[in-house]
Amino acid sequence: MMDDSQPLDEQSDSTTLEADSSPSRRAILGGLAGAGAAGLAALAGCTDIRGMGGDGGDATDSLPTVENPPDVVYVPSHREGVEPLGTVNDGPYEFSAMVSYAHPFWLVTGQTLESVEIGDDADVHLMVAVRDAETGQTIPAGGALRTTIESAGSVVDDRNPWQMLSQQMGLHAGDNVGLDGDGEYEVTVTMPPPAHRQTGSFAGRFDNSGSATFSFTYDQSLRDALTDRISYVDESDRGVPGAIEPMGSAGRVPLPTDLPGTLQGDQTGTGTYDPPRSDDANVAIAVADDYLGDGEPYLLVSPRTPYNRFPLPGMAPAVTISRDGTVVAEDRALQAAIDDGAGFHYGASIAALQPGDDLTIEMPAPPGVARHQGYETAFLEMASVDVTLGEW
Amino acid sequence: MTLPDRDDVSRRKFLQAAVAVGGAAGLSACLGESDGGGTERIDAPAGGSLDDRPARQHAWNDVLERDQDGNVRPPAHHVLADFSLVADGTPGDSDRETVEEALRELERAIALQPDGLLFTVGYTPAYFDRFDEQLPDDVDLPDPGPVTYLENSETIAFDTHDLTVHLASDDPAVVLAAEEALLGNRETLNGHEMATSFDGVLERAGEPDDRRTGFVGPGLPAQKQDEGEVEGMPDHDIAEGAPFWMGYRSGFQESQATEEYVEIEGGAFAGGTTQHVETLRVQINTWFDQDSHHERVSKLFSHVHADEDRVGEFGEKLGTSTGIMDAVDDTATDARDPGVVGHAQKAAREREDGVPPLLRRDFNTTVAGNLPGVHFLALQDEISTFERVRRAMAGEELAENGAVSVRQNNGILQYLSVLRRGNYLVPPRAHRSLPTPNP
Repeated sequence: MMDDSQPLDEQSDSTTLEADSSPSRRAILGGLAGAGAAGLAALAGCTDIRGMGGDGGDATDSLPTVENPPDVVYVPSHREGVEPLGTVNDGPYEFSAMVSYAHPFWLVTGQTLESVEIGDDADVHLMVAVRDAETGQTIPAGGALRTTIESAGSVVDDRNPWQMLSQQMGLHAGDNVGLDGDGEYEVTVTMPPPAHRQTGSFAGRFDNSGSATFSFTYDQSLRDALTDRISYVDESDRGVPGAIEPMGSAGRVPLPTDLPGTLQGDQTGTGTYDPPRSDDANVAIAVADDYLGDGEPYLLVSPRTPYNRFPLPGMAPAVTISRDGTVVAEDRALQAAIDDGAGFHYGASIAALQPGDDLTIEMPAPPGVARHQGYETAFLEMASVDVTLGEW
Repeated sequence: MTLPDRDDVSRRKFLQAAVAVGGAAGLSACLGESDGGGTERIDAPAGGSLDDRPARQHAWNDVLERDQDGNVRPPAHHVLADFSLVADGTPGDSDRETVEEALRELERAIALQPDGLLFTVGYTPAYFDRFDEQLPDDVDLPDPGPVTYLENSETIAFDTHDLTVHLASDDPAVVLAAEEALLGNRETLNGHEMATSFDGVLERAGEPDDRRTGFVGPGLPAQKQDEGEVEGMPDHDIAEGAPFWMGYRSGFQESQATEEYVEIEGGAFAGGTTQHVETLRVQINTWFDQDSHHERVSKLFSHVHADEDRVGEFGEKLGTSTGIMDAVDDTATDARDPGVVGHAQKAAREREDGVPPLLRRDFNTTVAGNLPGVHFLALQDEISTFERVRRAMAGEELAENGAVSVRQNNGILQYLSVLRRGNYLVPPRAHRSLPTPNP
């Protein structure tokens, strides 16, 4: 059985940037911490960003991208300039909103990746992250969050933004939206109760909808501020496996060692838990006795991004269990769930589960979330994960 | 009809704008010869005898035209005119006679045909709440409320006025003139003297801004887009042949219930039907500019329809059937792998032995902020039938058990926001005028 004395796993799951002694990683960190210097140097000639007051160009023209990025999570060309609009609590929900300039992203529809260019009328990229107000756990909105933007009492935009993953913001609802010129804007955010199974103290916590209102002034001073805050990664450090540091408000899932139950599938056996991997995702696995109160062992599967530890919703994992070469359960669905301790994960109570069982966890659909730069080449074809269960 | 030549705008554009503006002003604009008294002429086929009017108000299909594939083609222009009783309490026999006579005047004035006038009168649960008596068990007409788990009752309006007259015609001037005639703002309609109107018994419900209008038909969404007066339009061109904002044909014969199928079977309202009107905001800028055609077809029909290119640019390949029954049994597995399900695929799960339970008569509109929207008007035997299909479309269990999210990759839910809902009883013609709960 796992106990609290087991060493933490900072290396493989949490902050590779801190723990890894490779020079290139340190250089990235340094470049990012420097925020302004390297960034402003690279900024020359790059200010005509769409929606930023320029004529003609757009962010895809003026902001650099990474040529031929690797098929893993990679360090993007820059850190976006962002203006926080504040944090508002409503019941159990904590809403944090931000705006940036409109920028390109990628949609994942089933097995298809499609890049989304910036629309002609797009002015800003509006983002809203939702967390549990008490525990800070990310609540995936699944595209159900709605934003209504009003100016002088008139509706300017009304949409259900995409569920998106960004190295900087984590999992959030976001989209490029058009505004109606310079002025004051009010953003009303509403979110229905999450559809995911709610376990632990989350059971019954999110029975009602939540809403929040934010405001911002769209003008040259905001555009200047957003542009000034763009921070460029040194060219030599772009496109290498890695990630930029997330904002403080980005919701992470717990370290594997903080998951309930006993961790399974350690890849190294060195005493630190090194989770199985699938298309660059870390897939932490644990078994917890009687977790749902049904007397059965609960198989908990927690796929997360490497480095920044963001949850990966929008999958439908299933497990096949073999014992001594004989299949004892085939293709058992693991249901998406949110939990006060484990955060977003997939899981199922499985009475048949025994130590020594061989599990194959298949993830036929890649995480159906839109991607910001640095995540569009990873988590697209999720290889199955094989684990032989130890004691719990 | 007589219309002024206009240099700067097309005739159709001008007429659709007039339907949206509505009222006497809209009609004047429509005909360009207002004398302020609401006597503008329209030129529609005359109604004549009332003897051959069908017993069912919703029996429109026999007179509607068909498209090249044989699908019923809905009238192009629509108004949902909302009314409430002027007085509190229950209506009396004289009120009933007034309303019936006004409706008969419409029928005498204009023929039941697409270039004439088609209409139904539907009553809300709030109307029947005026009576102590209950509706018979044959009628399923609950108060409107949120239907799916995605809806927030605080952001949706629910219809509590008394009745709605659904007016439809290929000629926008006709629906406008008919609405004005019912309100008592016209002395003549199509050359027929209006001896009676709703005036004194019924009044317009809601604010003038709440008028519900719309249009449907191949080319009309593309035309709206060209005109550039609706906000929230995509950069991508809507297909010329598309009748709906979302750019694809819909309402295929094989997907539509028959008028018989949606009838109430027994009791005093036998031959009537129930009507649900759901008003939706439709995010077509995202739909067209961010999704590809392949993604749109995957989300509207099924990923197989997309992979096999079964649909064509705007559904022109589909004839009279979406062929969705091939994909319906795979809905739950598609939600897991590849992780996208189609709207039609989800809804078709509620067919009974392959028979669709709803008769859709939806049309395009604009909603708050002059953004694209839809009045999703559906007829069915019971409101619970609508709710069942609508919940299947919401696909909650697909999000719980599949890789699709509550909206994302879950049909077209990402692009829709419900703004308003209303439930109605559309009685048979014999009881269409201020019926008691058990006439």
